[in-house]
Amino acid sequence: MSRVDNTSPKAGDAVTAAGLNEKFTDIQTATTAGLDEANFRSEALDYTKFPVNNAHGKTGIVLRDWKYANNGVGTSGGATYTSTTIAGAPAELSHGAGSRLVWPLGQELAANDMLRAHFWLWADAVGIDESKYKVAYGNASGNPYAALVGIDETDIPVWVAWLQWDITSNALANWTEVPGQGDFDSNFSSAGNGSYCDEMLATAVIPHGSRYAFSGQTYLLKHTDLPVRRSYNYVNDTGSPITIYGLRLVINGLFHPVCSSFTSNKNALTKKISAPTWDGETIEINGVTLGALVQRTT
Amino acid sequence: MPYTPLKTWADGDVILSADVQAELDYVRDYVRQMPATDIEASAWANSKHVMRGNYDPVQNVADLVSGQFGGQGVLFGTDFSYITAYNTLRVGSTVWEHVPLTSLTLEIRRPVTLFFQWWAQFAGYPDGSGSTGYGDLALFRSNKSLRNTDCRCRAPEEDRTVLTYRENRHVGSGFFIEDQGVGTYSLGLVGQATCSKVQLYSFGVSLEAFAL
Repeated sequence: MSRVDNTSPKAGDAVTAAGLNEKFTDIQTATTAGLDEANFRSEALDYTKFPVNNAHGKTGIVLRDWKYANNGVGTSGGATYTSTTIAGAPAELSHGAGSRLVWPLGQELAANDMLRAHFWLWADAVGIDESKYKVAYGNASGNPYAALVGIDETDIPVWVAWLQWDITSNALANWTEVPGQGDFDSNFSSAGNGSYCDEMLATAVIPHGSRYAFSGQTYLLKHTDLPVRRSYNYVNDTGSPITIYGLRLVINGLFHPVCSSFTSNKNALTKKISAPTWDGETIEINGVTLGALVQRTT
Repeated sequence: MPYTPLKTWADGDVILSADVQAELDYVRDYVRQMPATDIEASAWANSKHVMRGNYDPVQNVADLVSGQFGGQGVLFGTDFSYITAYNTLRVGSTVWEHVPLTSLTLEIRRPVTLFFQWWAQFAGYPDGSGSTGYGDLALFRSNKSLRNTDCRCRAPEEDRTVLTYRENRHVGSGFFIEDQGVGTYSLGLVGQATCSKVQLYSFGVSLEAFAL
């Protein structure tokens, strides 16, 4: 780097031709090489010096791009999803791609760039088979909050919604789970199929119901009008750029919590294979919102 | 093109004030019209070169070269806010009204991309009306009519005749992303309720306005 010398002459200094010339040839040398950090003072650059856009803030210096989509459904009239057996693949939550995020030309996630994804959905648990959720005591059922009579207490399962991306092409035919996210289809032998809880970085867990104790009774509550929100952050630490063509949400159910020798004594959510069967129950998902920001971290 | 001195003094030359002044004036004119090609093209600027920003302690928002960032929140036990069906300017339970303490006002001086997030712990209290109501929260920007319900959240009225806090899910959260031009904007929450009181006992709003 070439630094322009701004030293002023002092009383008693001899003014020479060489000394005087140097004041100006310093500038010539520095500008020929290109002015750099040696020639600009602290706080020399204000926002007017940066290339801004006339309509948005994604100049690429900090924010590279963003996407946002909502399926326009609101709080009712959405799609109904049915729980499946172990082999059941997840269903897309995007209601006809209304809340999918698509980059037709691909969005580069360079090394050390960050993907910040956020999603929200409005759930209604509409189809619960109450006979499965029995408790040891209580009154006969007669209203949505009545206790359930039976002898076997059964944990209440959950639906799971998670993020997938396509980093192959804009044909969007190769969806895979985002980093840190399992596909809920790992085989845990007798414990069923699912994912470990430490593989759920982009998962929203939606309870199929809740169990409450009140005045000595236990009740099953079927959820209605349940907003669910989740966020996911990923920094590309692979050392190479990744090109994202799409982000979407998928849903699958019903899953139960498990921690046993079949899951290596780690917490997991699995589709149980033992009776009663857990297929055929439903959930209605109405509004779905998905948003993402791609920004630099260095 | 790089700066080139007008004159080169030789040993023995008389140094005239006019010559020195002409050179200085030439330097001044060059600096004022310096082409970008005379600045190093590879990255050299670091954070010390960037103008420092301003901080608004009232709203807890920093106004920086890269944009505006900040937010505010209230934790349990300090301040509460509310939504109610009664005793407001609202003329019907479906009318949206501002939720106190949840707004930020921004003066945006260059186009930005806004990312707004909010969260709230809120619960609906039984009002003895015989019907089960609810309270909803949604985002507004600029005024309550510019409302975004993409991430609407709801707290139902508790039904004390059967269960206490039956819903057991008192946390709501939402977000919004959009581009915004120059102007003064307000961002915050609006609410509507069909019961007497839905109380927000812990809540926060967060703003990131990217200019770069």
